[in-house]
Amino acid sequence: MDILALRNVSKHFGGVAAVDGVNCSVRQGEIFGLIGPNGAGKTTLLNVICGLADPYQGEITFKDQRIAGKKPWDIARLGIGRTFQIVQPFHGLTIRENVAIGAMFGKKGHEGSIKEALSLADKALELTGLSHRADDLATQITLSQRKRLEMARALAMEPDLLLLDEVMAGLHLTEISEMMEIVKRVNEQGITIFIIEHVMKAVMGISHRIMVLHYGKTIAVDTPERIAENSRVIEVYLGERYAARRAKRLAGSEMGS
Amino acid sequence: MMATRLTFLGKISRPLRLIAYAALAILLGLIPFTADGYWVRVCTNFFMFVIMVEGVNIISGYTGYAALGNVVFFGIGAYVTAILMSTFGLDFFIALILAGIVAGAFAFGLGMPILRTKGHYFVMATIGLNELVKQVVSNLDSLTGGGKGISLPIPSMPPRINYAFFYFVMLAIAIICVFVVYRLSKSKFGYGIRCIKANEQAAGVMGINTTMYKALAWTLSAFFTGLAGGVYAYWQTFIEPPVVFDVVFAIKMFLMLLLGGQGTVLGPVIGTFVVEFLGELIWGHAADLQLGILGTLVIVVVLFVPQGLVEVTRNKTIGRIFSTRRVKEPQPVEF
Ligand SMILES: Nc1ncnc2c1ncn2[C@@H]1O[C@H](COP(=O)(O)OP(=O)(O)O)[C@@H](O)[C@H]1O
Ligand SMILES: [Mg+2]
Repeated sequence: MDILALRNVSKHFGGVAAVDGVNCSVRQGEIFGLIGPNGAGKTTLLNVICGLADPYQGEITFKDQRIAGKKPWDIARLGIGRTFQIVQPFHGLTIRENVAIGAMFGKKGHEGSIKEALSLADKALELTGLSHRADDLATQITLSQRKRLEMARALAMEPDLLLLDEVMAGLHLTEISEMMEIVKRVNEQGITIFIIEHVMKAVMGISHRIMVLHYGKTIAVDTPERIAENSRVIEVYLGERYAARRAKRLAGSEMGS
Repeated sequence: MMATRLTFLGKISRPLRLIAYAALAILLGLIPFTADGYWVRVCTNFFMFVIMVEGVNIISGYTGYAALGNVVFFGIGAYVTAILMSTFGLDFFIALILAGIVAGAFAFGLGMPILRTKGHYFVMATIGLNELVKQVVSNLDSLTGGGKGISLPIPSMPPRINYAFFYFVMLAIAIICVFVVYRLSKSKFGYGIRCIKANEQAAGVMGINTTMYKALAWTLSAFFTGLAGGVYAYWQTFIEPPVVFDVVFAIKMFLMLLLGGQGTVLGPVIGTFVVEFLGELIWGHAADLQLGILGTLVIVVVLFVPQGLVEVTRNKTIGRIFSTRRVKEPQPVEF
């Protein structure tokens, strides 16, 4: 079953199509990867989904409900949480309070008390390994922790769909594998994940399916293995890294022989 | 644990704190019967500014929208009270409540469009709004008396009782107002508006209805400011547009807010206290210097204590002097 479906979605910025007629559907429970060169329109697509890029053309349905034209907070309450590529913590609030905001105003936000929100926050902090920084301010933590704060905050909203925008960018290798573990654990809890990522090893390793965006257009949607072999994808995106490395490897073997 | 207590007195042990509150209550209760009429008026004025500065604090300090033209609600409150009492013969307290409601409704209706603007545009829009309403009031002669102003029924009380009456009415509203801001700071709504100030876009995608929250924050702000205007009108028994829609008034409110500490419950009280009483003391000696000295004070505070004077009470060294136990938890954000 599809939890999210995009039909012919386009977003223009003054004549330039940042997203250009995208069609895709994300299945309930999967990890759906989105890759593509810088400026391909990945973040814009995320903004469109969560209501930050209104108005746009096309149709988006979430859990069989049309969400085009809805406000960000209405979309959030339907069960879509997101993180920001450039972290956007609430300054002046502690880490725990930052996360509790998700519980206070997210999917079931209107129901619980502040106390309940704080205990929900503690769960999200534990899952993301931030419990020991709960009482610190957002300015006092590392980039890796800020990325996890973005995750924790969105998780506390108890979303059905989580949109992640480059949560691994700028992290060390160990931090990347930690983040991969977190994403997998979240997914195992039944939360569908839509993840934008540049770290190939990570996105190839955890995604069930991957979509490739290029100049706002979809050029492939497939399993990670087949995406890695797709000549068009290698040409426009993977090529940048993969081709160089392969050439080096080839050159190395020639010299060896 | 989340610390959202009145840190000011919160660090003092409980019995001491109760004694402090009782002493304050007795002091406030005795002032109108013992102090010189001049000082009773100064105190009443102080309470009035506490109400208005807390009002600005809600929309500006907590929500992040610098409503410099907030004085418009003071004027509206004053005029609604005046018209309802003089023209329609309503009782003061009924007129006053209606004045607050009209000011609040005005903010809610206009908040939806005006709060879509941000930063300098919002500041200018609120000043424009104040000028616009001032012009309308100045020209609606049949209803408002126009530029000549409007008189209210003179309260039939002996002067001493008259002073005490307005002293206690302002004091009561000021206490309610501070209490409401205190409750607000600990509520979901309070968290919502603080998130709007910190990052409006992120607040929206976390499920906060930013449009509604901003409008409600401004409504509450306008309601209290309108009440202050209403009491002021009856107190003065005569109002005119340049006085109750005075932008200098508005600037003074911001000065008090920045000085005391915006986005805190007690900052406005501290800032107003310093400006009103310091101003009053200087006034007697060198009226010309008043604004200059206050201006200098603001620059010093902005440079060295950007969080406002309330931050000084939170200072660890000073805090320890008052403290009966170790301050272990992180410093609370609100106070
Ligand atoms: N708010 C905006 N106004 C104008 N152009 C924008 C805006 N946001 C994104 N763009 C443009 O849209 C294109 C896609 O950007 P973005 O979605 O951020 O790409 P990605 O996330 O894939 O790197 C870029 O050319 C970018 O300059
Ligand atoms: Mg991006």
